[in-house]
Amino acid sequence: MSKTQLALCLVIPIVIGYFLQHNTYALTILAFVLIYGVLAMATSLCMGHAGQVTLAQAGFFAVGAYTSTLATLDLSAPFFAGLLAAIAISTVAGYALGYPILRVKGHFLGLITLAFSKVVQEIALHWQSVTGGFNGLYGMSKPTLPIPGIDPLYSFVLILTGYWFAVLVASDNLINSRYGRAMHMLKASEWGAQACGMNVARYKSDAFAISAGLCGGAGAFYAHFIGYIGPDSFTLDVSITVLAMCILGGMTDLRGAILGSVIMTILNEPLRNYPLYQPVMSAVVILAVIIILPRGIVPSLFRYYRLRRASPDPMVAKADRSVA
Amino acid sequence: MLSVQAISKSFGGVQAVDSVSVEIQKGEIFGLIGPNGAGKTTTFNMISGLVRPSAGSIAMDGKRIEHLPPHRRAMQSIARTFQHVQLMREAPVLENVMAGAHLSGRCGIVSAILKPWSQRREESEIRRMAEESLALGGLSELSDALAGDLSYGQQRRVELARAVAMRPKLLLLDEPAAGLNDAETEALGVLIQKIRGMGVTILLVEHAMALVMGICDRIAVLDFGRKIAEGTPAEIKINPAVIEAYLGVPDEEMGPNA
Repeated sequence: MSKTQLALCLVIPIVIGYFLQHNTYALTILAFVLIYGVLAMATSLCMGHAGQVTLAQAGFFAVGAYTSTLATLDLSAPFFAGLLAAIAISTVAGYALGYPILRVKGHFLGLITLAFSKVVQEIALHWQSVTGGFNGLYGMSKPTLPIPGIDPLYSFVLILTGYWFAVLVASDNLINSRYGRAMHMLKASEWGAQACGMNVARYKSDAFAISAGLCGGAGAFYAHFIGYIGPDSFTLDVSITVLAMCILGGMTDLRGAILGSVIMTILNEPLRNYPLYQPVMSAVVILAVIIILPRGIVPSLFRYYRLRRASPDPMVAKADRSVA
Repeated sequence: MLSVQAISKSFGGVQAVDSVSVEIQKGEIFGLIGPNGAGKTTTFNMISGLVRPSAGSIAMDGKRIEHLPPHRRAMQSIARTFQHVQLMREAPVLENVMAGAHLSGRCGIVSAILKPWSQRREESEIRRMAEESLALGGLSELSDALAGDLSYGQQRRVELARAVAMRPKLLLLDEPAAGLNDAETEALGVLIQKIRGMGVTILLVEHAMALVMGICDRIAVLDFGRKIAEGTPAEIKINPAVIEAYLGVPDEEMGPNA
């Protein structure tokens, strides 16, 4: 991404949030867009760039949320310490999941990561002494910035925007580096990657761990934003929704992941009171995109412009002029 | 340079390769040929690391490598190309070739994210190495094209350029002429000799006789998993065991597309 695009990505949520101050409903939607944006970018890294199918986002999201909640409630740690702990513990969980399943590919990887999310949810439900079981944990407060005169919710959104933007810049730098090239090579061909001297096992488990760490951080923000977490906050719907966002916007492009998180969060909003229908929405979006734009919105647009510019066919050029 | 001692491999009851030994000298183009099913590909895969030998040893510059996984063999300066190209189809050609220079950098997750000055310098060095190998392969003009949009012959050249970007000591080529027409095969032969001119030792596994006979310094012939002959192209052409293995009269089977 260019510097201008990155700057726009930083400015837009800050400005929109500024004008939405004291409109709790709108700021809440903005916060959800940012939280889901992080989850979608993490998925884009793991699946779109490194080629490792994952439905474990809900699990890592939960690990991060419980970690930061326990750190702030039981250990009275400040929010930022809780956030760092959430990222660290879920990264470790990412390696713990990623390492044993190195030999598994494709659909099976999807199933195992799905099972992981389910296992985390079951642990949250049954390990009552720590997680509060079905009742969950509550009483976390939102972190705020010491800026006088602004809406505390906007101040939280600013901190969240900071995390979201850091994830965006880090991911963008990562995929445009030697390291990212290895991830892309891993996705395209494991044999090819090995022939270039890349340690496939390391890049695979790293891909899980990185995406796990980012999801864990998002979980910390979620927990302190809502002020309550329980097993039903981290159902498989989270993973499915995030997957739908990536498929809609374009798995292979971070801008696609962000666009997908914006569109899907807004589309899901009217269904907030009918949570049973949200998976239906995800299913409709996934099917429609796979049929109409299999690469997702952003990569399809880029491909279209690339082909149009490269096309020497006068008929195409003519048709373009007549449209203009 | 590469010393292969009595390697064997059996798959179930099938003895694919039976005690094959070859010594490849520094700077030569060594050809490995044989009829279909002779064990060429299995031998090649044991050298490149995709298949572990059941017995025998492989040494590179005196260092045993038969137990190393493929990426560790790449670290011993052994590059390879594939019979079926293994490229990033959605990425530009330059990016693909830069992947070949992976081992000349050390940037990990943290420096990739923080982008310190050393990382930028390393990246431009990798880019420079990739551009050099693109120029060698005559692909400079295609460097921005997507690899998947190129013709099959061009894709093979990209793979070759990627292998050269590794600055290997030993380059393993798995049927590089498969699917190429005569003109492309001839150009490939020139390119392989150019790469050898840079001091790279080459092991060539190939069906196209014209190419093998034209550029190899020495050739080993496999049949039913055993080495039946070894020598210069001229010696191999008149070797009775080779002629028998390839069934038929010498004139025919040593023709351009035997």
